[in-house]
Amino acid sequence: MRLNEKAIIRKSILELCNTGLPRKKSTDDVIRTIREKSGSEKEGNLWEYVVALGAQLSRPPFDPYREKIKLTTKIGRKGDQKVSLKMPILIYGEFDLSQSSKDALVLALNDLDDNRTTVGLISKDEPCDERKYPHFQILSDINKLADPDGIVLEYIGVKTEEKIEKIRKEFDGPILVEVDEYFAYYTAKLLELGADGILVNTDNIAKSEKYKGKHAIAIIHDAKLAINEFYRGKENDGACLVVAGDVNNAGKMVKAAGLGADVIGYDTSLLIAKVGHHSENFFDEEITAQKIFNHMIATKSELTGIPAALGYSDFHNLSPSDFRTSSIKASMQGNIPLEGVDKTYRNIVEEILDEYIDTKNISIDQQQKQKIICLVMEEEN
Amino acid sequence: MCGICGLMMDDSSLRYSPVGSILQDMMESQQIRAQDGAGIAIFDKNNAGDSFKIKNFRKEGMSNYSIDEVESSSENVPENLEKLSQDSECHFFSFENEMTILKETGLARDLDRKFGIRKMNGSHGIGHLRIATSSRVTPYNTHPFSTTIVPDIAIVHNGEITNYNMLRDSLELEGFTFHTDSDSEVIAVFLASKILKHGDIERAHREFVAKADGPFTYIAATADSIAIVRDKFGTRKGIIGYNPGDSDHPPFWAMATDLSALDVVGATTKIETPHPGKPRIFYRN
Repeated sequence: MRLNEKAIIRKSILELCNTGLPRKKSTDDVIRTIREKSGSEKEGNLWEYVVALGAQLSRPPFDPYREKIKLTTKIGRKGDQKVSLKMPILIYGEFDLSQSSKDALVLALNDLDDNRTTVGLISKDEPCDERKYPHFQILSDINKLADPDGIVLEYIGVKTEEKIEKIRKEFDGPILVEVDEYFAYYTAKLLELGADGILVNTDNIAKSEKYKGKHAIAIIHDAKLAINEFYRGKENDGACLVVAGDVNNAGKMVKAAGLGADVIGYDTSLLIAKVGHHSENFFDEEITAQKIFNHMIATKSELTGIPAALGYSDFHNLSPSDFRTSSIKASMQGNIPLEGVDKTYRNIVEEILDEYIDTKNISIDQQQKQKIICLVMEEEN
Repeated sequence: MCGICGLMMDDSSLRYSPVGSILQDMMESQQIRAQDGAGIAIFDKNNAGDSFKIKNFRKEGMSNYSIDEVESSSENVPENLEKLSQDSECHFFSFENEMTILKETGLARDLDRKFGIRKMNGSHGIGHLRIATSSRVTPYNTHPFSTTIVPDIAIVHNGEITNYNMLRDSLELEGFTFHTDSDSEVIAVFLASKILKHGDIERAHREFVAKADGPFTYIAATADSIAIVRDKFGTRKGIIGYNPGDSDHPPFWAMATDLSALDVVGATTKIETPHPGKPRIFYRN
């Protein structure tokens, strides 16, 4: 930390001591602004601009030492075909691992299951016989279906829809579909056919033309909307949103869950396995497994802190209203309320438009109004 | 720190059970807990009929409200509800058949002075004293809350439904309408949606406890039942007692936030605390 940043923090603390009043602006924001001006802040990382609202007078925190925060997650829409995770994490990533790294991973995942911290694995490989954890097989060829607990299909158009119909007849477990940037157009169809959820890789989708210049939070928000659209007018039976890609630490996981992610596709453990293999002269499976294990246990306790401070007893109850952002861009992309006004940017645009319509006495229907709001939001973005 | 209370007469066939008077005593004894608003819902079989009342708060000036009442037959209920929902000057108040809801900002004794609560009879009822924590002090944010989904359902609530936004979003997605920004309203809408789906009130309460998060105790009344429900950790208070009756009062079950409310109406036998997460339901005989 630089000297001028230390001075800002000191000044801020002195202010609190002198006035006894809460800060009007977070100290982080002041530092962030300075960093932005100096060009040292990485531009466009909207995760940094999203903060948890914290405990309030009317919403006392659950004591995390007394009340356990539930992290258990079920994947699957039908009662008899659900996969249960003790942590909302599926280890998933695009790393090519050596056999010894894979063995270390299996060792770690089995140990985690023994310690009531079951997480799942998404892999192209066939499930290992000694596994205690749920294995989701990435299935490119329907004839290579082994004996997984769940299946992941990559969306490649109508063929995927046909595959789901076919697999659903012989496989009872959950089917997830890894979607491309056009998920909004076909998610409802996939769920209709019996898929149990979608997997969005924010890194891959953010590279597409459609999401050019947009952040992972926009992709998560839109993916949740696509699932919600399927449930319009009916009761939600639990279709799952798995978010992978740019969600690689506990802070981002909590924020992603608030935006609608049910499960995180997490590649950090794979990274540890890979790095363990390359950075040490002597690769020890047990030491690497222990590192992965420790990392997941620490992540587990990190995940419970914010939900507890927000008065929740279940991790999955986080919603966008639990967060605030100082960035208009983040508010627009993730529909997150802005700090200070407690309204989303969309709400503000709606209010201004309503006022204009009233003052000018304009006759306009709901559809036209929504079209104008979308145009304004699109342009601003 | 709101105060809630409720009672169910043991014998609902009695034509003039003094539900209003008992509720008023229970509310006044808990007044120290909250002073921003007071309200009651009383159920009286003698009011039941073929028509329904849709009540609304109509805004008059900056901060005054009057109560609009529209009498509807079962056929034109949807049409009248739709009309009122489009009136921006109106705030939904209640949807009643045999139930009567009365609520106002201020103290319990002011509510009685204005509406004569002590003179009201019925088989059961609930009451609420409000301290505003998350929404403004207005008559329409005062409890009890009812819904436009089914008539004769009312809830009073102490605490916080922390995952209110999530529950509200999913209920709105299913097509159910909300009329206030209060987290308490989600209890009424959730229960009504389940009554519509399977008609089993006990199951509806159990489903709510499974889905709701945060520290809360609520009392919910329908035409045939009254239930007190605490969150699964039991972080908010709730107590039940029985008054075996005497020459002044027929016997009744009473429930409240504070023991003082049971004490003041003599409901001091069979004292119990509802088990966290398990609805305690009393049905009308």
